[in-house]
Amino acid sequence: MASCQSHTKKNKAPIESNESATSLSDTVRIVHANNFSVSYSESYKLVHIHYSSPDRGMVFDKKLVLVPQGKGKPELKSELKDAWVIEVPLKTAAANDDGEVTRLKALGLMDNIVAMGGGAIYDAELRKRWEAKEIASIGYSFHRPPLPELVLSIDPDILIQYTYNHDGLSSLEKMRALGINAIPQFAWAEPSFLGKAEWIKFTSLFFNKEKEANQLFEEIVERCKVLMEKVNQKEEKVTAFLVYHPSDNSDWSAHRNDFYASFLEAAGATNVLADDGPTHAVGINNEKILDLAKNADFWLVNSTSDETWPTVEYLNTFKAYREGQVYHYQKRTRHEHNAYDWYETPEVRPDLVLEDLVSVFYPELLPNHIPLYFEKVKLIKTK
Amino acid sequence: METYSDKIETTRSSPKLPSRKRVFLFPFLIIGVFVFILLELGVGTVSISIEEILAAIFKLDNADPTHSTIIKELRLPRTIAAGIGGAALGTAGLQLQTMFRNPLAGPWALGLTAGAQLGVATVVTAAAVVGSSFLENFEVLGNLSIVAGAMLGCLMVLLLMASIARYVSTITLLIFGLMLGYLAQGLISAILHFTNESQGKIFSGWNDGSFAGVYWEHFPILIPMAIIGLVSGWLMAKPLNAFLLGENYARALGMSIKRTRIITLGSAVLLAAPVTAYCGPVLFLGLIVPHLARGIFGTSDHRILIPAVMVLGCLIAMAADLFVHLPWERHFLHLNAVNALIGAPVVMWVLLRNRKMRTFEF
Amino acid sequence: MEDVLKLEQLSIGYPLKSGNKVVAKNISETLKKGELVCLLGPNGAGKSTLIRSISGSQKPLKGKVLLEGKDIFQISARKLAQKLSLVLTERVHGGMLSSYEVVGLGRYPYTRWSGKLQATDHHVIQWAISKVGAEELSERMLSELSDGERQKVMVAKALAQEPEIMILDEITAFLDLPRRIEIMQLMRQLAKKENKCILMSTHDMELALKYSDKLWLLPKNGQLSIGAPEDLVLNGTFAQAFESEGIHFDLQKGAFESHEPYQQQVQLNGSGNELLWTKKALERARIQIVQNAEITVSVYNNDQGMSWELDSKGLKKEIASIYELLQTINEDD
Repeated sequence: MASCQSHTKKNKAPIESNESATSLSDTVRIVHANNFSVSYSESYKLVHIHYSSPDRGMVFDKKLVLVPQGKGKPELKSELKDAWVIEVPLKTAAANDDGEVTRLKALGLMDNIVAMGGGAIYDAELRKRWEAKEIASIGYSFHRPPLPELVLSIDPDILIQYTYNHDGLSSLEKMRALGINAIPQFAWAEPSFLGKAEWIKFTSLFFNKEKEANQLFEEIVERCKVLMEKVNQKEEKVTAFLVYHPSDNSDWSAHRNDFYASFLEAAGATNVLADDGPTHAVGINNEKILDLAKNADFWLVNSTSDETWPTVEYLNTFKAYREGQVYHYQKRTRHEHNAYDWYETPEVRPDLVLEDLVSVFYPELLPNHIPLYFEKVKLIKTK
Repeated sequence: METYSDKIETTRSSPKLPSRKRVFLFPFLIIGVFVFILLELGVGTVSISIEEILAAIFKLDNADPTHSTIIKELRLPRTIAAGIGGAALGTAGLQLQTMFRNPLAGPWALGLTAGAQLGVATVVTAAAVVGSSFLENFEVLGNLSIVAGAMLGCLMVLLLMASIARYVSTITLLIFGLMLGYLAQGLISAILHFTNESQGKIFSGWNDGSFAGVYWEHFPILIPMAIIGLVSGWLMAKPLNAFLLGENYARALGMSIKRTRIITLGSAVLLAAPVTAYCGPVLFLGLIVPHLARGIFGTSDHRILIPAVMVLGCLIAMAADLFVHLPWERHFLHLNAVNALIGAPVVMWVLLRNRKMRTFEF
Repeated sequence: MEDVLKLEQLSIGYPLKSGNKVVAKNISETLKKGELVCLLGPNGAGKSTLIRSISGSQKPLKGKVLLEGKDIFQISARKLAQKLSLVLTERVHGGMLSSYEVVGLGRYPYTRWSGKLQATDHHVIQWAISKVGAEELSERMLSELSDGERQKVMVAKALAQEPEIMILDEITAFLDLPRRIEIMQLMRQLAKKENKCILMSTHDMELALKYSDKLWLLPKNGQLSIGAPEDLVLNGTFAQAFESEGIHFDLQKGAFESHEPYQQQVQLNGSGNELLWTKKALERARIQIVQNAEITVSVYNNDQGMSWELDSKGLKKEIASIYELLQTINEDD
């Protein structure tokens, strides 16, 4: 084993410089994202995807070796024996996450998308292509495990899967067992919105689009920096909270320590629900919200009206509700397609959300800005 | 030894055998099974022609590799699982209905399904407590132990039901089975609540039976158990017929009640538990298949009924599975929803008929 | 006649922790081919226990049951079922089995594991069905039959076992009188023509007296008495066995009577069937018939039909029916 390794090293050394010059010209450096990292060797890109969630009992840890097309499989060190080896650049892509589709589009890879979760997409061009059947469906809807038969018949070079829970992980295993190049995506579990946006670099690795990804991401970081500097001038911070109200009247979902929560801090608001818990939305009941958020200045939510919320007596306990400072983020929605831009464009342009929030919290800082996503919730119950 | 054949007048020497007219239906049902196998393999979100199915199965050169994978890795195991599952549950249902003398008995109605689930939950949790590596090795290590857990849970419930059956009425027994089912569900929830969600992987979608979760690696356990269960079930056809006359008459005919009980109920466990472990709770099939078999073949003779429930169970399970996997736009019609659509009316019919004619107990 | 079943010093009952509960003891008796034996006794005397002990389904406390010289508990279940068959009180549902198939189950101890019937089996089944006269029923489902028809089929099933001895436990309990008589006659026929040994327990004392070759009388004290019905009647055992039950056996009539005292006395004149049935009616109304009484009833049957004349202390009344007659006597009272 040892001799074998030294042998490879000796042999490879001279070629190395040539290769890196041709196919590994653009590299990415990961700054904000937690759940993947990239390193470079002489002949391949090494991607490490790692995610663990003790509260859900989910563990994922895998190394991907991306080698240039046509160069053959490199000899790998023993620690990389289990790595998935992928020849890049790839041509066709499928994804069951609308955010992932948006990333592919932002990298100029729209023509490479052969299939996606379904037609519930806000982006007009993607929707048009789906209607024209240029982009196929691989499942009943976005975020649901794709149907193996459809994926097999489409046979994309890569299937980027939304692995939010155990169902998603077992679906991934199933796909790989069927010989599909299925890759999980944990952008949703990033604790910061910049970390989440940085996953565009992850997507770019498979298509040698690092240059475009770096450029896009730098612009975003720059725009966010400008906005954050603006709010930092403010000495007194507002308080706010962001929750999701499910239609079935079960508990609210609260953004406490996830990337959505990170928007609030960046926009100069104190998140009254903040904690050190899981980096995804968590359930919270009426009593707990009241306890933590009754004095918050702003209430941010998904519902466009308070129709299905608890009683007005309960709601009036909230300062934000009494003062009419309740905003929803679903302005850009196409109900006829069940499509929400909130889950698409912000994936690659979090600066747009940040800008909206700054203008909501501090209108005087951005006097001419009309929010793209946010508008006041119709408070029917107060009348 | 003295027999009476010589006492019968010579004119009647050739006995007129009782009519077994409906046995001719078997070839039709078997043809039906093959038709449904082809439909299961050919119909789905991707449709595949018969030529391609045959090419894929017989590994011909002109086989389309994608379609071959779809057939061999997805549809064939699913179809086999449906076939085995239907035959196993149908047979177990018939055995339980005869042994408990209860027309609405079945693996689900008597709580065996819930017992099997609880068994699996216990094994998985215990293993996770012992070592977290179990989770990663689940596919390899868990395969046998979850079936063992399912069988143990199933057996415990069956023993409990068998011991109370003699003291309570048929309806009480069914309500008892129903309550055992809820109890098991509650215990499973409690187990999940007090450990953590880490076992969620195993239980995700567990309240919904499906044949689509069975793959080739499960068959080395599932098939031998099903074969032992089905064969031992079939061997008991004669004693089960005597059982139709009641325990006392059966004993007076020279039958060993104990032996028949052990073999038949053991066979029912071998049939119901592994199917539940791999497919989740599949409702109604075990209950309705025996009734349909009696209705179609017009007899309670187990020598006909047992092969009949096997073939019919196979057929109905594949039909239900096919319906679930038609190329729908949405996904609301789950297996148990389809089973309920077929099964619930049959149960209601049995209840109504049974009240009108008390004698039609089976 | 050939002995089939022999009871040797048999004591039956239930073993309890506090000591055995003995139902009957010291029974020594032989059952022979061609004999119809009826087991009679008040409820709770232990008829069923005796039947179960004799048929090998309950171990006796003491003593032995020998079937053709062999201890019945040493014989395998299959062999036993070839020698001894049972018919029980319980209603059999039989699901969707035809009568033919049910009788076919009588071949259970003869068929192999698959239960497949051979030509000889079919012959025996058809013979058994014809013996009980159930040819019309053979294609019908057992569950569609009346109680009487069903018991006939069960008797045919027992016959199809080709047993030496048939034991029947209260099989007429659910049946109406004509059906009971029919079954009794059938049993007698099977004993005589087919040379079977038949032991049946029953509640029908009068039918048992009339049809059985031998009676087994089991009173509550557990002292089993055995003999021809007439022997037991004449030596008083029969009357004794049922004494505690509040009824009394009328030696002359050969029937049980209640102990209720007579309310009245009349003198009865007349002849023929009219006289016989008038007597029965008066008996039922607890009116004693004596030689000299204040009331005289005369029965006439002439061209105008039947009529009754009631002479109460010289006051004569013409009456048209027995019903009216009874009412009139009661009114006078």
